[in-house]
Amino acid sequence: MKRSVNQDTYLAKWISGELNDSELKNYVSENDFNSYVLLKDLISGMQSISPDIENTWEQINQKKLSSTFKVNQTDWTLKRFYLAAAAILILFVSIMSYHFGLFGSQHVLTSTQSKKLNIGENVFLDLYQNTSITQSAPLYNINEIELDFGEVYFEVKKGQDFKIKTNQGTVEVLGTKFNVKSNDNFLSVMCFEGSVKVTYLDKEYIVDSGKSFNSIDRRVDAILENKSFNSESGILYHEFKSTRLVDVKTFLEKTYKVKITFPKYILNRKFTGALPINDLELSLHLIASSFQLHYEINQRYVYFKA
Amino acid sequence: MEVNLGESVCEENVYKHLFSKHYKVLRNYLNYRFKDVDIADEYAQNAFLILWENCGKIKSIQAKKFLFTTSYRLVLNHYRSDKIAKRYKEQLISEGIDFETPDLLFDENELNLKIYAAIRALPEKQRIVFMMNRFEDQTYKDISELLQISVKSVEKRMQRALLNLRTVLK
Repeated sequence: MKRSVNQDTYLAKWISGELNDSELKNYVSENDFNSYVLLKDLISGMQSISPDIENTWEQINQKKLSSTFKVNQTDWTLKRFYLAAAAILILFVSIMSYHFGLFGSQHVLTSTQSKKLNIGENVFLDLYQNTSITQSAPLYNINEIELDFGEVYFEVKKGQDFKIKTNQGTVEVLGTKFNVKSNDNFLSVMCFEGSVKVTYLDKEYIVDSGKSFNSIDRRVDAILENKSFNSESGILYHEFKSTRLVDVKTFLEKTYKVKITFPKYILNRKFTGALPINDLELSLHLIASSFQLHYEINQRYVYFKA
Repeated sequence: MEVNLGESVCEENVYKHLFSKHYKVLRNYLNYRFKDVDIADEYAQNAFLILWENCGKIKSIQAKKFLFTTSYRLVLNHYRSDKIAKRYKEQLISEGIDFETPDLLFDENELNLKIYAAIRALPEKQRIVFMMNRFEDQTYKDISELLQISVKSVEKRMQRALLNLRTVLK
C-alpha cells in the first residue's frame, strides 16, 4: 500500500528508515533508486573524526580550576559575606607584610592568569600566565626577586638597583624597561629602554635598549637587535613583544607555509622574544621552550602538545 | 551512567556525563557549520566552561540546548570581533595555506572522494542537517530542537541534500 508522503520529504524519510526500499520505488525511477542505494552505502562507510576527548576533558578541568571561571551557584548574601571576610583578611595580611616586613612571598600564576605588581615606588612587574616568582625579602625593602619559571615584564626607575635571579642566570637592572623569560633550559631578556646586565655562565652581557639576549641549552645565540635582523650565525630573526600566541602562529604559518596546531587553552597567552624567519626548527624549539610544550612535525603540519 | 534530567549541572558526575555525551556532537556541529576545526574545538570547550560557570542556573535537561546556542553565539562573536584575523586568514588561504582539516574518515577511493567533496560543497543549511543526521546520529527531531526549526524543515533540507548528492553519481 502506498503511504501518503510529501513529495518534499520522501528521500529524507527513506534514509531515516521511515520508508523502505520498495516504498521509495514509488517515487523515483529504477536508475535513481539504484543511485540512492549506492549513495546510502557509500555514506554508511564514512564516519566523523572524534576529538581527543580525554585530553579535552583535562584542558577543561584546568580552566575550571583557574580564577577565570567561577561557578555561579552560591547564594549571593553568603557570597558577599565570604568576599568581605576574604577582603579583610587580605588587607590585614598585606598591612602586616608591608609595615612589619614579616614575610617573603611567592606568586605562582596558573595558565590563565596574569598579574601586575608594584614593589615599592620604583619597580613595576607584569607577570604573564604560568609564571612563578619568589620574593625572599620584605616588600618595602626589596631589590631582588627570583623568577622560578615563566615570563615577567619589568619597569624599573632610573637609580633603582634591582636584580632578577633565574635558574639560568642573573639579570641586573641599570634603570630600564625590559622583559625576562626563563625555564629549565631557556633564558630570554629583551630590553625596551635603558639597559640591563645579564650574568650567564659566569660571563656578563650588557643588553641595551632595542636588543635582546637569548640562550638555549647553555648556548648564547647573540645580543640581538629587535625587529628583523641578522644574528652572528646568519639567522634572520623577527621580534615579538607581548604578541598573542595565536598571532605568532599565524606569522609562522605564513612564513613557513605550514599549518600549526596548539592546545587551545594556550592560544591567548603572550609571547615576547625573537624567532628566526629562515629556520623553522629553531622557531618551533623556541616556542616549545617558552611555553613548555612538545611538538611533532608531519609534512606541512606541526602539532604542539602540552 | 544514568543521570536524572532534573539534576544540577554543578554535580561533577553530571557535568562529566554531559561532556561525554555532547562534546563530540557539539564540536563536530561547529566544524560542519564553520569548516574550521580549531574554532570548533576552542568554542565547544568554552561553551562547556560557560555551562560550568552557570551550572547553578541550568538543569541537565537544558544543557544540550544551552551548549549549542552558546557556542554558536561565541563563534559568531569571534568572527565579528576578529575581522583583522579573518582578513589575514583569507590572505593566507589565497596564498595556498589549507586551513580545512578533513572532518570524515573513509576509504579514499575515487567515488568516496567525489561524495565527500560534494558533501562539503552542500549549502550550509543542508550540510549541517545532513552531517548531523548521518554522522552524529542526531534524529530529525534532535536537529530541529538544536536549530530551532520544525521537523518538516529539517526533512526538506535533508531531501535537498540527497537530491544534490545524487547528481554526483550521474
